[in-house]
Amino acid sequence: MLKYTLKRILLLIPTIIGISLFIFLAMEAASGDFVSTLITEEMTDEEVHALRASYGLDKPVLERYVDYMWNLLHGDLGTSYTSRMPVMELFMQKIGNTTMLAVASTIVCILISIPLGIFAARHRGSIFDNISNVLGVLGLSIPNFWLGLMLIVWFSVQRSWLPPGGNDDGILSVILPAITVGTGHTAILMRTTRSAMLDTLRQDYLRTARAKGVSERKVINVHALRNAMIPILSVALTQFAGCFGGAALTETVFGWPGVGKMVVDAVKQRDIPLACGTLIMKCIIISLIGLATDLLYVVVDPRVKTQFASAKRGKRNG
Amino acid sequence: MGENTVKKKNKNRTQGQEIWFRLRKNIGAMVGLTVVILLILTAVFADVLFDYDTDVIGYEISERKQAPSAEHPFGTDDMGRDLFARVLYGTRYSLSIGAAAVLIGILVGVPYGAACGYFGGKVDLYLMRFIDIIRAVPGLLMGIVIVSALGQSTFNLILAISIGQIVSIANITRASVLTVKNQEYVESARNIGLSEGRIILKHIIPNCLSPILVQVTLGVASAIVSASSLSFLGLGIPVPEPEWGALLSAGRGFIRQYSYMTLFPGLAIMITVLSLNLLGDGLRDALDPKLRK
Amino acid sequence: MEKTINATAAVKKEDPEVVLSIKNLTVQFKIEKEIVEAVNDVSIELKKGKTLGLVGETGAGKTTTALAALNLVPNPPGIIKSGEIRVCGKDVLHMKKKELEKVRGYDIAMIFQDPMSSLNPVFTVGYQIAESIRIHNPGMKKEEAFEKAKDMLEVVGIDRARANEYPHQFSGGMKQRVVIAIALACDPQVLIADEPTTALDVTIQAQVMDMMRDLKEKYGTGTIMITHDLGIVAESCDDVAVMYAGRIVEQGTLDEVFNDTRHPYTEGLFNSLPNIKNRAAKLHPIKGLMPDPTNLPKGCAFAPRCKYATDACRERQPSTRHFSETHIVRCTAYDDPDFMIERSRKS
Repeated sequence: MLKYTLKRILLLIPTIIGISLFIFLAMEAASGDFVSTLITEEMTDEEVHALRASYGLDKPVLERYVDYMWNLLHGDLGTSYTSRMPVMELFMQKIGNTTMLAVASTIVCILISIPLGIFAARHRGSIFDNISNVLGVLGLSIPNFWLGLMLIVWFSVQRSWLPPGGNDDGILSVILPAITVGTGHTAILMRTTRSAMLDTLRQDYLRTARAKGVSERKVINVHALRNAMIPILSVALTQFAGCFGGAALTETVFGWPGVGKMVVDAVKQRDIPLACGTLIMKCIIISLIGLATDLLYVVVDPRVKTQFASAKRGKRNG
Repeated sequence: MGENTVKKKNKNRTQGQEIWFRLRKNIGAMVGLTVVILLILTAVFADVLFDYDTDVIGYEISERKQAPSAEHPFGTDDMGRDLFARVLYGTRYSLSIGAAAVLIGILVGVPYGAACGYFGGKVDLYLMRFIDIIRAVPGLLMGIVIVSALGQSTFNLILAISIGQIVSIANITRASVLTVKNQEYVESARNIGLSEGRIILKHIIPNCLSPILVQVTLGVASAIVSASSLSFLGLGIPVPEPEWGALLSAGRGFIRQYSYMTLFPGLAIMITVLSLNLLGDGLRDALDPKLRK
Repeated sequence: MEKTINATAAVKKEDPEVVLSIKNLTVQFKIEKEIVEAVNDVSIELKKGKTLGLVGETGAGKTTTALAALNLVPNPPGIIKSGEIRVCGKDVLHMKKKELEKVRGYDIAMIFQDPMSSLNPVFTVGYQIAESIRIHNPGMKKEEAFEKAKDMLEVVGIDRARANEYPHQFSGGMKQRVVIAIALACDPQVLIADEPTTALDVTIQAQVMDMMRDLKEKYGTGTIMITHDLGIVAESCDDVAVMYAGRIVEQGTLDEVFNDTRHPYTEGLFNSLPNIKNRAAKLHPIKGLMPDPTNLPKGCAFAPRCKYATDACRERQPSTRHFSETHIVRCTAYDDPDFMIERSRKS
């Protein structure tokens, strides 16, 4: 299992090289670099050149890239052009907010979707099932950023119950962004739960359990749910990981100071080290969550554990 | 037990009729299909309904920021343009951008995924590793970077969102080719001496079509959302074109007093995406009745 | 669920020796507005320590009858339309859920056909056996139940140390032993074995059958052996009931059904067996297929395939006819006092 963990971590290396190269080349191709946003009309050519040199932007792109990677190898994510602060420091400032949003939306999502999904599966074909199916597709179809805007209209502008943006009001300010991110996730997780439960509910081992005298409540909540949990958990954790990569729009709509908004702004301002460093950190986080998901499988699904064990045994014998 | 009777009833239908029969029973899918057809008609006849120069981009400052009324069902924007005309005309942009992005997705993704699935081994490993790297960049950010690099235009917007489509179509093609490749009928086709080319053309591709078709339907929906997201961030189609995301972005500035400006373009996106999703779900069930049970 | 109480059935005095009695059971399945008559007017009695063989083709209604005995017919689509089922004298069709849970696994237990899918993959086999013990012995400590589960594993010939392993770590035959251990964990009065060896390799089949016979003798469990294998019936059963299209067409003691066969369908079953003494002899399978269960013929369901069938057979349902106190046959042909099937003519 240790070997598997190491392999997963090693796989990050080509990904990091790939995305950083992509950012450098794309920014090179983009019209205008960071310095062009600073230029004013009174500046002479020499001054502009000196300014460019002070950011190292006078060097060719490949040289800059190699420098960046060399520093990265030493654990240095570089310095942001815009704020002149180390990227790592900026990232650490914002990651807390992104994590808070991710955790809040995942909790909302799990609390709503799993009970509803189980209920829909148990009453398959009922009115409730049909309604929740329609709501599920609806939840999938609402564009996140528009939902965010509408929530602001309803709860902040028309009623002023909740703050329209920022993160100055503690738990209150996370509610609307969390609903915005969580709606699509809730819809997906509800559909996953429903189909996983439907799949489990027709398994023969539930009949065995009933024949033993296990009560219907325990048949569903212990025997069926433990099995259905395997795909549900996988989807929920993938979504959780996704919150670190894809909440940029929601963060923009609510002015939520997280890493998603930071990286979008960085690209717009051509702040290469900030964009690149933030992306790399996000990839590492997402990959670690993925690894945790895989390791969690070992706990939830005994079959996976045996696979690991037998792989080890096979190695030893062979 | 009921299988015999079901077969008996349906024995006179071709496969296509059978799928249509199942699709027709799905209310959601039929609603979706109807709305999609209406949207396509709106897109095609948009310039019959409204004159682009006067109704869509021509402005009338005296009529600015009017709430929805009989004359302007969706109200007017800050330049006095009729939002009803703009939203309806926007169907043309959203649908064609979505369709074009998915078309690129098919043209690149299907051969890509098929190669991965069919050849397997090293080819699969390296091609898929490349896809993994692309997937490591969040889709929206990928779009932002590409539009920044290539410049802001409709074509570049389509290109930027087609990346995501290529990835998902390649994935689904690879998965279904992998399943079909190991089926016994492919093995027996090989045993009777069919060439690889014929096997791919005659046996593998037709059997992979259903999941790809479903993915394409859902793909148009997701491409429309991606396009409007980028426009919303100001990286999509330049103003004053009436793209839905751009309308939302424009309306956002007036959200405190004039929230109708953001309500209707968003509703348009949602209805379009919802009907495509309903249709895609219905198609999935109709094409593969096994999945329903 | 619809249930009608059969008023006359309850009159007969209870025989304490009878551990399972099924009277006039009718079960229907509703599939897309069509009604499938899965079980029709079936009556069975099982005495303490005896084994009853329930024989018939796939789809004859054997498993549905068995599930009804535990009130486990899946609903929807299944509905127990009428009939009375008593397990150790207790009416399982008119019971509160809580009482039913106490009967299941304690008075009556079931072994299912496919051991591969009848064990829950995420729990250890020890847990799955102990679960049954704990349900029926409330107050018993977890550890004690687990020890008892280990004892049960030993009873079915599995090392007690394997109690902590998961189902996927066992072979098919071993899994079936675990299923048997679960069923016998609370020493039930009635055991229903639904084709317990069909899914297993031939060599394993014999082992499992031997083990089941030993256990039956040891515990004195009344058993219903559902099978389509007449060999298994001959080896292990005291009584036999032959089912066709949801009805019992012939029932009696093993000797009566095997050596004094009366029903043309039973005869057909014997004729389709290979003859070990004359290997060159041609097999005589029963022609045709079982009728569509949603559209059963008006008369005898076997008539379309029966070589003795007359117009009378096709017109009306056969009535029951007693050839002895225990030997009951449903066949219209015996209205003719001279009628004999070929098998009886030979002997």
